Amino acid sequence: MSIHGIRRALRIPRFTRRLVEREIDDEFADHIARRAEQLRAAGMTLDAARAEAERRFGDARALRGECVGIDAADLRRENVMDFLDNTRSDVAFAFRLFRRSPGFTAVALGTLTMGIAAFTAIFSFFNAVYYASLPYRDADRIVAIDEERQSIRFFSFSSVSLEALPFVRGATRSFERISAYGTNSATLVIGHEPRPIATLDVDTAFIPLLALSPQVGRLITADEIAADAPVAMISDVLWRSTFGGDASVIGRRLTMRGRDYTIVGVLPPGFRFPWQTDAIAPLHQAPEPGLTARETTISLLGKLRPGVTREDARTELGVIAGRIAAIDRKAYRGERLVVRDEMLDRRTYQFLPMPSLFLGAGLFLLLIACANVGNLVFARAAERAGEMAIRASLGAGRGRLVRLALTETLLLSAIAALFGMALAQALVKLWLHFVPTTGFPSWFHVAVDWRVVTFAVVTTAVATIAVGLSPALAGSRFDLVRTLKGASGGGISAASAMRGSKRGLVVQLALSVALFVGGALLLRSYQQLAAVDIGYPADRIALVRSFYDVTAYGSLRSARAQQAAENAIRRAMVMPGVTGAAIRGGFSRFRTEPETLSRAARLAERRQLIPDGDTTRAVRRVNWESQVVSDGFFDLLGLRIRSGRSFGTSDVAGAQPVAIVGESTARALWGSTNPIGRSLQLRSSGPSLLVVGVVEDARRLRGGSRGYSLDPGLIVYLSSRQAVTRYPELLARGAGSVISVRRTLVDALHDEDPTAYTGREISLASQFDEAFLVTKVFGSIIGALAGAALMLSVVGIYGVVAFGVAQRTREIGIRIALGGTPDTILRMIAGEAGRFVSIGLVVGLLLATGLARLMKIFLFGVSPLDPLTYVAVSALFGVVAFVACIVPARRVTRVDPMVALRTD
Amino acid sequence: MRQTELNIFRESLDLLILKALSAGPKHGYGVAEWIERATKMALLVDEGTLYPALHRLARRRFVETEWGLSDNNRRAKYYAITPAGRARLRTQAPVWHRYADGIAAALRGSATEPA
Repeated sequence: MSIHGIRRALRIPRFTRRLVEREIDDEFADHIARRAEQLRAAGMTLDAARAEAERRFGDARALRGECVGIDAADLRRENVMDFLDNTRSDVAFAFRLFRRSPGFTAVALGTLTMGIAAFTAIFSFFNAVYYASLPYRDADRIVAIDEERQSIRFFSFSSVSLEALPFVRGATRSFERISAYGTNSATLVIGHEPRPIATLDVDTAFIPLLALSPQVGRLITADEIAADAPVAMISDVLWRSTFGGDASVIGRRLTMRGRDYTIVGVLPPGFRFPWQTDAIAPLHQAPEPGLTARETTISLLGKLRPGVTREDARTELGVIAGRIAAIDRKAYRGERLVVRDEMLDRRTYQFLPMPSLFLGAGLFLLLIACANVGNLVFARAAERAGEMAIRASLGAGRGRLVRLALTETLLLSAIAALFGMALAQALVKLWLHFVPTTGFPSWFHVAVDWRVVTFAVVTTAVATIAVGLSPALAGSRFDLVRTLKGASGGGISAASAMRGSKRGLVVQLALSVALFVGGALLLRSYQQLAAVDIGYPADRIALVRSFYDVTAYGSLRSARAQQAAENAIRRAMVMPGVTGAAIRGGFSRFRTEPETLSRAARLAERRQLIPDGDTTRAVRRVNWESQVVSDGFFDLLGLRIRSGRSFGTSDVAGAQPVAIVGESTARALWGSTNPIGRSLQLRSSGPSLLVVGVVEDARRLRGGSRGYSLDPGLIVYLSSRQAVTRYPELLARGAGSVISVRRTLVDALHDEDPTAYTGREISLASQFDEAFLVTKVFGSIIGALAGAALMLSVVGIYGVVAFGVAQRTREIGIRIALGGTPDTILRMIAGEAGRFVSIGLVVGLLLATGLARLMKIFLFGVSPLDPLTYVAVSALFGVVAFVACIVPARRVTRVDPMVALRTD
Repeated sequence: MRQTELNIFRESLDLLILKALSAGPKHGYGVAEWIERATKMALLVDEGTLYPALHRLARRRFVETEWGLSDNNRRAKYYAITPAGRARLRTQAPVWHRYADGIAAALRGSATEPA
């Protein structure tokens, strides 16, 4: 590097105001002196010549001021230029360094990129769950209005009775608009494959409230809504998937709920409210058949006036609640109207533990990556001690050197951030490809948005500065003379570099170990889950979950749904290749009961399992289930009747309703006494069931908020002749593949009802697969992260040991010269490495216990403190650490002592 | 009126400096001597006024500066003409000639009004 280059690289300031003034003074003095000399040579005396020279020069002070003024403008510009120039030269210098050690650069960049990509991708999900806002105009002013009564609790986030609606609409002081809507589902039949769609029925205020505009066609008009006209707008997704995105869709017919709707427009892309929306149609504001206005509920959306707080709205609604309560003191006891922010409480979703755990794992990896790059930079700072000393001797201040080192790390992280962001985009796309978000709430929008980018950049910058600063500060604190003389103890000492590197490695090892244990526990759980013997060949039994357009089925919907399923089973039974078939489904009602109980009656009477009419022994709803099954069900699953009898042809509607219970159920309800002939009720006012049989437990695997369980639970079977289910499942076994058997079932179902649509499950095992999908996906992601972390650790250990050994080549040479054998030296090096590896291991295992406890509900058949896993992971890391340390260590023991002694 | 006068003086001084430097780098005193000789002592009343002009030219990048040692081993600031400065000299000299000739002709001519 030329002198000029060094001056530029270190940028010793060229101009300051004082320097400028001094230069001008020197210049003037030089001029006057020369003039005086010339005058003296012409014969004047010294004093006279001096005086004449000054006189001829003019007013030196004024001229000096003028010159400084001219130069100062330059000075200001020069300072800015200097800064830019500095930065440019720093960046150029950093790039030169990168080129000089491409290995270092590649490893550091790769490491940081991986860390940033993983973290950014994961954060984009976290962002979607916790921070993303509603994708509507003025979303911050849109709230849900909900009614709470002491006597009744509804479980949706907005549910107001039709009777109270006119009162709520009076809250015009706080609300610009209040809109009523309802969400429903319908079956859409286009071609052969019926498909379920989510419909949104809206009143006249809805469209202006959300400022909707059509992408094709027109909006539904207020008149059409008022007249409940059969017109609809369809979603962008439906338009593209079903109508090929053709503008001629306008005017076409759409058959839903047994009515023909005319499509008038297509909604803008991405519109969903509040979850999935396939079509928007006018809201029919009338009580549901069989229900009163008080029992019928509707959802409400309000848009606050600008400047109105939620508190103001609550106050106004409080007054209105009083008026509603005045209609009927008893029915509206404890009436409260509330506004809910963000339309719904995000925290109720079951997938929520995952984002925070993933985010933790991503942060782990990013920290590991940063620690690793920190190590590399640190090690190199030591190597560059000599260079730093030369720079310092040339006048570069400490700040300047720190700045140089920081520029280098910041540049690294900036490049890594760019790569990482691109990689994160790709990862998010890949994830969305496998798990589409249709059906998620409208705010759940996964994308690498500004918040994600900001977060990633800030995190990376902070991490990098932390990583870059310590070596930069250490690197600039050195003994100039000793380093220049080449003494190995000078400069940033090898010992201090090693200390920093080791500290980084301990952190990194600890994090890797924790991740590895977490991943191992999850993958072991998955293995256990997959190997569970549930007592029947679930994967050989084809499953078709069937759904019907309930609105089209009218008041007899459950009976008709079940009839269709039973007919389909009968058809399938006679098909070749089918050896047995049955239906099952959750209990809806007895055939002797009306289709719709009034809502009040249903809510007043929580379902509870009451043995022997003894309400003190009642089991609450969540802890048991009742299934309606057809005759062949037990045989199909291979469940044996333990005592009593199976269902028979005499168990018909109108006869004594009978029940069969599972073994565990019988034991739980009646202990060791004989359950046959006992009575059971499913509701306190429901008919009394006679227990006629006990059947072998059907074990099954369930995931839940308390973790996986194999507990068969309490189960009561009812005959499909006496009871009906609204959502029947068709089951069949056959000689052929489970897929071909399922196909037969689906065809039979469509012959029966072309509008019925089916679930995605293939066999009974599919349901279990879905249950432990979380563990599988989670396990493989954490496993991949842990693998990456292990790899990084290996690189880290190798680097630190190799560097440490290289620093001590001379010492080792002396030891060999003094008779040290390669073995003793290896042992020495391995022992030293072993110390920090074991500290990392212990800290990591402790961290792992915390992590495992967080993941508890995803674990199965393995304790969060499973000793085997912890020992195995420790052993793995021990072996890997040993290899990573012994390979560079062996190299140095082969060194010729004479060569080693000369290395400095 | 005074402004114009100043401008004429400034312009002519700038041109003279550039001309002085076109033969080779000089320090401030060298430039003053050259002007003195070339204009037969006609122009520089206060020699110091040369310096604001030099600094202004430096700022406009018509000249560049460097500290060096003079023949008698004193630290001196040397001025050298830049390519931009030469271009300036080339373009401005003819303008000055026309201007000066015009004034000279007008002053030499008879005081009669044009017909």
